[in-house]
Amino acid sequence: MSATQQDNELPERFRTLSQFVSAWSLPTEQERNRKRRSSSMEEIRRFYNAMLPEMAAIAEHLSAFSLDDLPEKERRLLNLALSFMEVALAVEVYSTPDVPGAIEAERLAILTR
Amino acid sequence: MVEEIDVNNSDGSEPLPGPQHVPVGPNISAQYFELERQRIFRRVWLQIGRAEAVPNPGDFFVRRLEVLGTSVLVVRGRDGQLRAFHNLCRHRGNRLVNQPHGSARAFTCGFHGWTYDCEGALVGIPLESEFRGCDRAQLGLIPLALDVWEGFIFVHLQTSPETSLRKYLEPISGMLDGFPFAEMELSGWWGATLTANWKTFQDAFIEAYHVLAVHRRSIPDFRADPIVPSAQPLGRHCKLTYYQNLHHKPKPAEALAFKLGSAAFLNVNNTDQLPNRRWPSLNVENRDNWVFDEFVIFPNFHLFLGDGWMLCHEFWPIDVDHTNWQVKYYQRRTTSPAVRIAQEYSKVAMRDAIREDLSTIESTHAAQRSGVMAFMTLSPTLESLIVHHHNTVAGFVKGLDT
Ligand code: FES
Ligand SMILES: [Fe+2]
Repeated sequence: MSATQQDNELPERFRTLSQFVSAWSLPTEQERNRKRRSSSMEEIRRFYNAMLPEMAAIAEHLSAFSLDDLPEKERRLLNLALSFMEVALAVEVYSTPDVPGAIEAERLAILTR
Repeated sequence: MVEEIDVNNSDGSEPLPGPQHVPVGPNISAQYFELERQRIFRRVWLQIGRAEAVPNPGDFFVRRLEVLGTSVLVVRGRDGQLRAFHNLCRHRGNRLVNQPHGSARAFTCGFHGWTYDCEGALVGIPLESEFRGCDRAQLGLIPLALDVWEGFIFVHLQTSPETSLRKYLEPISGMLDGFPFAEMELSGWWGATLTANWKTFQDAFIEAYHVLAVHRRSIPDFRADPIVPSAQPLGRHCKLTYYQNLHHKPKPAEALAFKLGSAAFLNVNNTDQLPNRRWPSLNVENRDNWVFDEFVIFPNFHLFLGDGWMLCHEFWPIDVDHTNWQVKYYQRRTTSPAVRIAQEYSKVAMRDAIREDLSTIESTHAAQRSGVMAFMTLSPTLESLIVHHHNTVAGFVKGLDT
């Protein structure tokens, strides 16, 4: 198995989502928001539509673990799910990647550690 | 024939006052700002953070407070005590700490190496023999008063303020004593510096009237009942209670978030898990569609308390035309990944809505700055606390507050 495949690896049950790992499994709010804003609606919808039917199962799978002690694959899956919530606002609320009519994204510093 | 207009409320209570005219002069005058600096910010308790951000001896953070013309170092000593100092070295005044936060055994000035311990004592002078007769005991870091209420760290520029923190916060201190703040942890932290007066910035966060227009995209079905939030002046502070549309239909991700256990700032259906709404000083009218209470702690700290979350806004004036603002979002502490996923929805929705809030502030300030408009015309009900806040500021500036 190549290194790239390993980096993309998710728990077996969610293998079909591994195509999204490199783009969307991001560890910080700032990176997830930046990815959302720099993506097209097509790209966002493709990710959203793939994730939506799996979200309940993802939450259930991760419930067997504690946030303090997440194995690597589960951590990747969690970060995918967090990106899903980030783009959900674009899909369900704003119908565009960023927030229309708001102050420019660059003016708001995301300081979350 | 002119019909007689009944200005009384139908229930026979007192007629409502007319629109309130609040002058814009205080938002744009540099002289007025100088008086605010002297008579408000140098004379009151100011909130600068949470104690759990500095849990261990040696933990510190630094805040530049332009309005006080100083940088403040908050550090926990080896004795466990929190202290605040002006962040400057007693030798020639160089800024002592440049890191915004961290943990230290001691602080060494980068200019000539004078060293201070975590309690502020000067403990080392390189080539000290060349400073014959210099008494180190007299040259510790210069303190500000610091006190902590329910985990919130406040500082006061005077070393012994005439009013204790507790007394200053009345009656809010009494209303929230014992509130489970420690059950929440920091999950989002955002900031911006805007070209706007600090009061204009705050005004965008002391009423719900704007929701209909500013948040028309994010909260399109906002139909709170009652539409006028319950507003309560509390001496120099005040409190506003917000309601929402209980019949809001959540979209899929939002519905999932509610199911997994996060109360977003919007719709709340699962009231059993949500104890904050029953805290005696929150949701005092005991309405199902309560969403949060906002405490405006004079002069520049707004504390929003909802179910399972809180939001802490700080508005720091730089000068009459510029304000640095920081907001921290806290959610119920969890080790559950499912709850964490749910909370992310609430956090992102909050952050995006706040970016909508920020969209009007600079243009409002710029227009007021033009001098074309002498006063704002505010609703005595929907915007009563903006009036209250501006009146309180004016009272301090005139020297009326004791
Ligand atoms: S100014 Fe700090 S050691 Fe000289
Ligand atoms: Fe708002």
